[in-house]
This record gives sequence, structure tokens and C-alpha cells, in this order.
Amino acid sequence: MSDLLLALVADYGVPIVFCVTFLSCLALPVPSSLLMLASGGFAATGDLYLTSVFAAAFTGAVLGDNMGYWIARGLGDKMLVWFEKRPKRSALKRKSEVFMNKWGGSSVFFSCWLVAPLGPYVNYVSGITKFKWTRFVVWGILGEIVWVTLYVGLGYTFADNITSIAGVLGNASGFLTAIGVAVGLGLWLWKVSKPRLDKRRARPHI
Amino acid sequence: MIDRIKHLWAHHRILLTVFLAVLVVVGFFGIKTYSAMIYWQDPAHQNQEIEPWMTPRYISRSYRLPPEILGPVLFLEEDMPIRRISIGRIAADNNLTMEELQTRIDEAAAAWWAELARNKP
Repeated sequence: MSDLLLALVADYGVPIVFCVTFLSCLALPVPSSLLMLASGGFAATGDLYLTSVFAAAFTGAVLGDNMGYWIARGLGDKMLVWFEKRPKRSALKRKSEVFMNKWGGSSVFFSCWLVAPLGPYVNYVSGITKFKWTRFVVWGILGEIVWVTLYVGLGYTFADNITSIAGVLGNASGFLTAIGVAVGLGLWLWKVSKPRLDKRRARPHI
Repeated sequence: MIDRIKHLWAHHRILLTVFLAVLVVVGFFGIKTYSAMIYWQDPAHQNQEIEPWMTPRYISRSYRLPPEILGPVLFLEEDMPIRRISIGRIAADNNLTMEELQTRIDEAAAAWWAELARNKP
């Protein structure tokens, strides 16, 4: 899959970069990071133009993000009855809405690049919870600028050994995402395990 | 702390298990990132093995071979083609496997470096 897509970039150029970043923002399993690194490498060797690689990757990513957002927003409306059917579901939805209202901007921004594997899902959650679209777009654009600059830039800088740098970045991205999930889940577990502790400690004083 | 864990085990068993699984994943990717960095920094891996997606210009850069040396090795009529072409296609057009093409490139690179070393005063 990776080899085939990379060969397509070598043969057909930046339209492939556009398609792949677009699809990756919809949670389709395409190797967008490796492809951007390699395209950066091709730009360094003179096979592609740096500006067109950047423009294609950036446009694909932003359009992909928004596609995901609007699909989820449409689905969210249709699933309203489903959400309201069970109290647990509607509570989860309300909680997500509160969370997105408070942390939506930074979630969208960091999920574009720092914890990129979570990106598509944050887009979907933003759509379902009806997170304000203008905020979604602004943070999304800023995040994608960082993502594209980082990967294309690293590919350009370390053009002589894309395979190795791709190995490092792929694993580092998984590592950071896992840490992010661990911290989030850990904090939540810590919070919900507290009341019982307080009760226990309070008991002897009664 | 133990009270908290007991409480979580009693009330949120699935999420606690997921949390532990995520910690394992953190360790897994941590080790993989570290070993990938070691691999990257190792000078022995500077010349990356050729792959079908690479272009002649890309190989020229990775192996630090001038176009006029690499051109004939890859059966190119000009030193560097104006249009991009993947070496996977070059191999297929010339009925070569990637291994055979790799050997051609390695031999050319060795000869080039030997010649450079000879010409050095």
C-alpha cells in the first residue's frame, strides 16, 4: 500500500499528495505522513516543487477535515433520536458538547499534528457536537499548517534517508498519541475514584 | 492509591483494563521510537536500500552519486529525465528485479567512491 502510493507520487506528482491527505483526514488508513515526508524529499531533489507539495497537502488536509466535520454534523442530526433514547447516551453527548465548548479549539489544533492519529475522530466529534464551525476551521487551518510544514519540512531536510526518518516519526507519533490517551484516561479514572476515598477517610471522624 | 484501584476495579473494570493496555502501548511505541532513532543515527544505514517508489534524482541524492554516473546505471538516455519516473518502472521496463537493480547501483557507487579515493592526493 505505502509503496504503491509512493510510486504513484513519483509517477503522477502532487495530485496524489492531495488525495492522500484528504482521505487520511476521514480516518481512512492511508500512509499520509510517509507520503508527505517522501514528497518533501522529492522537492529537495528537484522532482517536485516545494510550494506545490505544500499547497496540495495543506488543501487536501483542510478539505478532508471539513468533509469529516460536515458528514458527522449531518449524521448527528439524524441520530438525535438515537442519542436521546438512552439516558447514558444523551449524557455522553452533553458531556462531549461541554468538553468541546471548553477545549474544542486546542483539541482540533493538536489533533491535526501532535496526536495526528486522533485527528479524524476529533473532526467527527466536532461535527456531532455541533462545535462552532468558524472555530473549527481556524484551529484546523493552523493545525494543518504545522502538520504539513513539519512533515514536508523534515522530508525536505532529511531527503537522503526518508525510510529511517519515517520510521522514527511514525513510532514517535504513536508514542505521543498513546501518552495523550493515557493521560486523559488516567486523569478521568483518578477523578472518578476519589469520592469513595473521601467517604472512607471521613468515616472515622463521624 | 490501593483503595482507588480497588474502587476502579469494582466499578470501572473495563476502563481500568483499557488504561493498563494503553500503558503497554506507550511502552511499545517508546521502545520502537528509541530503536528507530538508533537505526537512523547509525552510519551503516546511511545508504537506504532502493525501493520501487524512488526516483533517479532521489537515488542520486541518497547515494551521493552524480547524475552522469547514475544515468547509465538506470538505463537513462539523458543524465536525469525531465519527467519523474519511479525506479520500479525502470526495473520493469528493463526486465530487472529490484535486487538486480540494487546490485547495479551498489557496484556503481563502490566504483565511484574508489575512483574518488584514488584521485585524492
